[in-house]
Amino acid sequence: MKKNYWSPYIVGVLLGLTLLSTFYLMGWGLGVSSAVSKFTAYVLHMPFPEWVEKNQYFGTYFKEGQPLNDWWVFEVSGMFVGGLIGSITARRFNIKVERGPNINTAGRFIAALIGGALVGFATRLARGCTSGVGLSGGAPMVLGAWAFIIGMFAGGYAIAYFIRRLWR
Amino acid sequence: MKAPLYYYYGFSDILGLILALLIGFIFGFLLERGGLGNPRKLTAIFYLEDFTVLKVMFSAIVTSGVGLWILSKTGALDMGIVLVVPTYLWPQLIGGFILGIGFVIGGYCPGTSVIGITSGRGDAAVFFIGLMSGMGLFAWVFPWIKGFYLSGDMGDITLQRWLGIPTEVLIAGILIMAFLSFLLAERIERHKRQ
Repeated sequence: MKKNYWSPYIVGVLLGLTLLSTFYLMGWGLGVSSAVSKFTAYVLHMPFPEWVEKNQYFGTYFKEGQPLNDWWVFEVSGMFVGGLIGSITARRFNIKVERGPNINTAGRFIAALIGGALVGFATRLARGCTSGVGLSGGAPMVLGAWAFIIGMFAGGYAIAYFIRRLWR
Repeated sequence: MKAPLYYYYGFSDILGLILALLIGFIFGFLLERGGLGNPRKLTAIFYLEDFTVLKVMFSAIVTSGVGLWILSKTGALDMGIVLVVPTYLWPQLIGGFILGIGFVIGGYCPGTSVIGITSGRGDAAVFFIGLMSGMGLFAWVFPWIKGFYLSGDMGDITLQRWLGIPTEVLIAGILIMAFLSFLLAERIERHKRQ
């Protein structure tokens, strides 16, 4: 039997306490996209070392030494373990493709790829994602973080109707 | 004790990285327990059916926001040392907008796609490849969009300073807003279920 999800309010409060502890212990917040960006630069560096090192954006990661030697890269590695143990212990681990009733697997994969690319691009523009800007910037009431949150909900609601066949 | 502890007590880098793994573990575990690795649940907020995303995000922001305020007010936490994202208003507003569009199309944001992957979802793995592609694309076109990337530079500016109101008033306002949005969300969800 799959276990039920926890109350979103309880998860939110516990997540808030985790974020608060991170600020208290480390002096910075949670984040995901910068780690993915460093990993991307690391992967691209294997076939194209010169291009990556000369690139104005990715190049800075290599000036500070090894890009994967980074606090958030370790934090995201921990997330993979925590997420996996979480899904196994709740009996929710299951190899599948999650999709709406009116779309096939190929269509879902194309949408996931396009959506992922848009999100990846957007996180670099905004200097972080829902975690690094939204939560970690939202809690200390950073103006740009609240602009980001408003933009995110506006973008989601603006497109949702037109792509409803993906999910409904 | 004066915090951030890492700054004032000079943790070793190894201890910092162990804490990173531990904090990441808790973060990932909580997202899983909240159902935030499921793209149908994540996108349902945009079809007004399930407001989990809003409830989790705002309870987390309010909890840590109030906590940060108390810790800095009592002098326990030196907010001058704490690193937060600087404000570049336009790229953050537009970046948020594009992220919202990509979120509904792809079904995840970066952190939740990690949990999608660890729940066994193939579409989350494809989304993650998309994420990396989008970041590579950004790095590629960066020289041409650098002007926009650096626009709206306002440095370290908080909502209360921008609005010119005391922190207490802002916190109270956000608490009221969060409470009202939760009430509204519960109402819409009940209405949809009937």
